Amino acid sequence: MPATPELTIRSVEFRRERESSWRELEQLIELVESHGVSSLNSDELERFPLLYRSALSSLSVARAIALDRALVAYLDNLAVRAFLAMYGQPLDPLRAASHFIRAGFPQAVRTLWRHVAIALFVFLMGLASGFLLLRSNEPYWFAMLVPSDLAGPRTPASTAADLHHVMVAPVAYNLVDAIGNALFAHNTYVALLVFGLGFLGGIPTILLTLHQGLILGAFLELHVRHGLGLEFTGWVSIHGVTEIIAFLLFAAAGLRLGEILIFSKDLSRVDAFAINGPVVAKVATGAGAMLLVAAVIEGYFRQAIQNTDWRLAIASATLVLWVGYLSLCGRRE
Amino acid sequence: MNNQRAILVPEGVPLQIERAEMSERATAFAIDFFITDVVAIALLLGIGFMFGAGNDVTIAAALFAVFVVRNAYFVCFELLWAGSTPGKRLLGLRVIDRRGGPLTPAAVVARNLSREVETFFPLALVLSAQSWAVSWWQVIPPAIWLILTTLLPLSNRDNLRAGDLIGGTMVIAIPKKQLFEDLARRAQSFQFSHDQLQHYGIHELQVLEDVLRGTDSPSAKALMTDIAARIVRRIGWRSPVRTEEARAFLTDFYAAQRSLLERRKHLGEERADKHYRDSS
Repeated sequence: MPATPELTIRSVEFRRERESSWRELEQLIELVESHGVSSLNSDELERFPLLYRSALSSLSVARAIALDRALVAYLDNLAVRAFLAMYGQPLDPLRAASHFIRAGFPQAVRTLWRHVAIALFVFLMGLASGFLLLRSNEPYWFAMLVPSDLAGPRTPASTAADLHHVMVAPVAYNLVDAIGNALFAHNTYVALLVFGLGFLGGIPTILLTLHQGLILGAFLELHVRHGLGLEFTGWVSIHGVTEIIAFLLFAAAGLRLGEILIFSKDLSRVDAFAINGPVVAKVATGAGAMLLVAAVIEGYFRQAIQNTDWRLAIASATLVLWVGYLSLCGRRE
Repeated sequence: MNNQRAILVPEGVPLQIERAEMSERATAFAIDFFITDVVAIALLLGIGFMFGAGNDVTIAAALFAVFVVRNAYFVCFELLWAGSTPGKRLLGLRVIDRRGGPLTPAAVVARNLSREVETFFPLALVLSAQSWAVSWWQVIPPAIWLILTTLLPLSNRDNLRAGDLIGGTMVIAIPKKQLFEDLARRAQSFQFSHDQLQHYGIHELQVLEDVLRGTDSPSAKALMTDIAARIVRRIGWRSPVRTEEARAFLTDFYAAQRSLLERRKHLGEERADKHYRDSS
């Protein structure tokens, strides 16, 4: 065998042909990385995608033919940076927020309609059971179902006047207070819990939802017994409609988390979360915003409006608005 | 390597990306947290002047302000800078979609708001326990929750925290890599015969590449001399190689060997390492 006469190395030839285009791409990436896409002129903007695709093809070729590890590593890195510069476009937070409100949130809620239905069913079951249980033995079941810190002055021993007083008591409220209230309110805590515990497979979510229904049912029965059913409904529902819908959405999101965790079918759990997670997150984010709205209603309007008829009217209006918004908005997109 | 992952970009090419280390992410977060803290403290002072210090309204407003500042900071930066915040930028980290798609606003909001549920809310519960907990055991659930969410990133191979899991994101490191000079691109002063190139495979070639790309320290020189001596023995080179010549000899050998192995590879015979004969 003769000695190799002249050394022609495929990968060296390959690199010689293409290196200038890599260098050009690298410069454009540096520009985009430091000053954003807007710093490219129209010529460079036109070149960029072409150079990006040619870098991808260079990478594929290099992987196939070149044994120069540094070259492949460089091209890999170049392609990743170009990919991020290509697809990592800056997003306007305000536009993203407005799109979320106009379409993203209601769409996400609609994809989870089954879970919302389950949460609603469980909640209503709780409500009815709470009501009926108290019918049979009020003091016993009230103590069983309602946590003492939540009951406050309202107990089976209270008189109608006591109960009435809670609902019309003038409380000096302002916006900051209302928001602060929402942050620390028991209901916010439960809403986050019902969502977060979805990670445990959804069973705690169901139980907590049932329990919330039971509590509300118990309170309702307590007031109905004293002939204050309508007043109580108005007092609770003026902000409660918004709050309960938000709560049910959190529960639905929690149930979906549990479902992804347990029934991810042929996907790995991590992949299943990657695919289905954003919808869950959208629902939870929107529901969180609804809790803030509910807090403002609770802190402001409930105190300002003492008339039960008006409270009920506003509650009905919020119900129609929320249901209409969640079921209709963003259908065309 | 353990921290390498492949994502498939829309053009259909798998790209190797490097997962960010937990220490890098913690550092980046500490920087961002420091910045938001400075802003939040300024806000708090303002709120304190407005409502008077120490009452309940001030505390509620202060907590809400911190909440808003922190989340607005992370969400807005990750949207505007396409997955980066000042802290991440300093450390060369980026948030990306785990499946190689574009990073969506939903994913960004999800991964950041999750941080509240997974860390800050239970942390606040634990720290303020004496004001709400009736008995000591009520602190246990949020404490367990906190421990579990903190350990979650260590339990999966992509170091995903709960927010990354839900958002479908992961944090990667993008160190800039330079294009080094091609080692095989120089005039050949040592010529090798076809037979002399039949002894090694790709693995040895790339180990040699690493050595040649290293520094020229005395220990590296000694190593190169040693490697040259081994190669001389193995391929039956006509004379021993002197220390001064070692680098030139190895570089030429590397070029010749790579030329042969690349041709072999092109013909469908991939010689993984020096044992390739045994396995075929």
